[in-house]
Amino acid sequence: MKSKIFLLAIIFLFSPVFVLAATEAEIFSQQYLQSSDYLNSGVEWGVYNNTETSLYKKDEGLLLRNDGDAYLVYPISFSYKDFDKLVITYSSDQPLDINIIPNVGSTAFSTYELRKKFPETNEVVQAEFSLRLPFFKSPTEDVGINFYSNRPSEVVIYDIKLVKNSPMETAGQFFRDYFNVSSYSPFTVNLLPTPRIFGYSAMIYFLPIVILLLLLLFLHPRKKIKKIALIILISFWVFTDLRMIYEFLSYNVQDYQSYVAPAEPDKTLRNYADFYQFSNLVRDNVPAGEEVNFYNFGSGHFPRILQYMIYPRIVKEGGQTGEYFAFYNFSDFSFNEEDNRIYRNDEPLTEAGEIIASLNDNSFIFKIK
Amino acid sequence: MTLDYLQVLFALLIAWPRGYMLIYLVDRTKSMTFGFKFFVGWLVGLAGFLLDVFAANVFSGFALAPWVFYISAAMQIFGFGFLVFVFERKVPYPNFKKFIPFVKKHLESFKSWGRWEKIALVFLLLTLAIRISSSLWVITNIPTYDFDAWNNWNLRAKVIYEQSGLPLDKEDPFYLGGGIKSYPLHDSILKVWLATAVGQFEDRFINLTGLFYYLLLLAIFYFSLPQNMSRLIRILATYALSSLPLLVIHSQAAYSDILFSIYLFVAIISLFYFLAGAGLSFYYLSGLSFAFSIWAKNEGLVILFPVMVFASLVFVAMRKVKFRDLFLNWFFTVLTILPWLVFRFMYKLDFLSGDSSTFNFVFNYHFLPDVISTVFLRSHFNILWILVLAVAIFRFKDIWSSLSLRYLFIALMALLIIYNSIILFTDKALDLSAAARVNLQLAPLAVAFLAFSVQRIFGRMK
Repeated sequence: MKSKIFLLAIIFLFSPVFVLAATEAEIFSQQYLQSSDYLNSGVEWGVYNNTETSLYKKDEGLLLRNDGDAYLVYPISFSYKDFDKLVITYSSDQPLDINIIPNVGSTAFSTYELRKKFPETNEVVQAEFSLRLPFFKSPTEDVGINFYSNRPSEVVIYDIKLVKNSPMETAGQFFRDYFNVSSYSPFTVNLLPTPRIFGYSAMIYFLPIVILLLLLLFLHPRKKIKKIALIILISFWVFTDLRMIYEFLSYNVQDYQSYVAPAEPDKTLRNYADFYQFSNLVRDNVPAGEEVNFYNFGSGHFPRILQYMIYPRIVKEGGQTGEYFAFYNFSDFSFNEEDNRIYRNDEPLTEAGEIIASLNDNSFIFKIK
Repeated sequence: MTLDYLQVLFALLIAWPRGYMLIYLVDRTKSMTFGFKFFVGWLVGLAGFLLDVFAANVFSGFALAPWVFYISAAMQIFGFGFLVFVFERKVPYPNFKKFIPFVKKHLESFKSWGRWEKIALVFLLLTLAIRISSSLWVITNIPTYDFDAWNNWNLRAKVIYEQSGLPLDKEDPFYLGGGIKSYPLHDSILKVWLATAVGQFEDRFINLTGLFYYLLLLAIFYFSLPQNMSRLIRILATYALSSLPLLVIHSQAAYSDILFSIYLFVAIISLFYFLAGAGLSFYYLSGLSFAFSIWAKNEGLVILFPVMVFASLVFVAMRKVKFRDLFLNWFFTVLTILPWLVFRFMYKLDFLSGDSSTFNFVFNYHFLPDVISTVFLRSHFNILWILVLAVAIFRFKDIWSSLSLRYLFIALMALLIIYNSIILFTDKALDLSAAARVNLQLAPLAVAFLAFSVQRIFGRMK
């Protein structure tokens, strides 16, 4: 009997349904962008949120001169019934965070499954993203690909493909999703997103088994069955625990790689980039008790984090009194060397003074003389 | 560097003697085990020590200098010691001669443990070591990152530390410490004390409180489970609690949810033991822990207070407690927390995080799927709440037939309903950010309920 079940399992696993090959469609490459299919399609790739909106031929790929937060957007309509994986082949001279954003022109929601960090490398890299997520259940309006780097980067994209997985690969994705860890974010202390499978809490898939085990534990007359059910339930608990230990240790590794190990100017902390380094800069350059007029671009949390980090200095968000001004990641402000004042676009903001410390061109501390 | 961490340890330990003395005083019926008294003593010792320091600052104007902390830590040792002397004509000095035999006795008893008990203990300690290492690494390497820490708990601690006291001038931009002014100051003043002890306000020292609360919770939880409960169940229950993912995250976050959950746990579980016939001491301990829960988080007043009032009324109706004890318990409860209540009244503090002057009932039906998902389907609590629900459904008769277990079940469900109803049925739930955290506060109680139920239902299943 056992051997028959085993044989059936083997036949089932290797049946044509499971060994169907994956299919794929190229949607970005030098050749594709010159093909008549693309040129006659009526839609085209666009570069957004970047100084240069053109792509340049380089080697076998197309060069994106990335200011640090560029978006490649393609108005393509598909669901995960058509394609359930996106593969980007690229190289970059800076570490990159790549984020796939479905319907970037309208809802622009994304989750940790669609965000990946890649280390600095000039080697050709393949970045794979599973699209088997609720976002892709209905046909998309467009898809955006965000290339985020702390410094300007040169990204050469060789090709972008949409892939339809074989059933076997989809089954494999089930397990990959379960062990896919997220990054520690400001929400983690309130809500843990993982583990998820195909964009849903993993427990949804295991719940029927858990309920069956509970029914056996409480309702089955035989003690032996009850014991087995209890042991499996405890094992399930331990397995979930080990999965989450893996998650927490991966947070440690991510923090080590991005914040602890890098040299001082390269430190970034989770989703706040180098803001903590900037806070330290303000703390070290402004005397205690002074007011700091603070202007920033980015998270709405920054003024309050800065206040905590630099107290007993006082943060005045958007203020204009006092001697000290701190600008974080705000390209609207610039220092005019002719009159030594800070200008917001073309309007003077401050009296004459000097930049006393800077993290980069857009993040600096200014003191009125 | 090592010296700094030893100073932190010293700062945490300094409140233990007065706390142990207080618990010794409360335990008139000699019902509590040494381990339970040791760790609960540490908890209430810290709470009382910090509340005294707070009162000295805001009512008497003493700056929060080290000597104020030292006097607060030492004074009540004599105060409580005198009261113990009045009752027993002896003072419970620590007898260090008993320490080594005590350790030897427990090491000896380990040899007689069953194989599965040893395996479970090793597994508990191993996983705990990984969790502690991970959290310790985060605390000592990563600056304060989580919202409520830099917006409230730590910010207020830093302001109080830098100003050597709570700013009481309304013109001060950091009036009452800044952040949300209604938040109780237990956690923040503990951080002030740690910074004072080390001599500098640094995140890597003050954020150790999260890990301390986590370990204290586990210790109190383990020693709160009775000796007659199967040791394997006690170890597995402690492991289950230690492994709850959201609890582990909070061991590295500078929040107060674990701190509050310890007080809530001790308050409710003590009533459970009182009903189970473990002695009147637990009844008084419940009141004490409830009082300090108000000093830890506003949930003490908003959530736990109605449950404690209801429990008191039921106990009186069932004649489980004499009127004299009921009166004395509430008297001591109010007396314990009086400085904070008076302060709250004087400075017109809200009961909730924001403006609590208006309070409307609405049905946030759009939150319902997320609340269910948060409690049952996400990884926050592993399968804890599914197991609690299953036990409640399949073994309702067993639970109901035991008075103490019935009480524990009702208390747990009442707290669960009140907590989640605030999110589902009031306009005070702006989003779901607190949904998992409030249920986290109930998790120790839920694990204890599960442990007692399993003991009762499967105790004979060998």
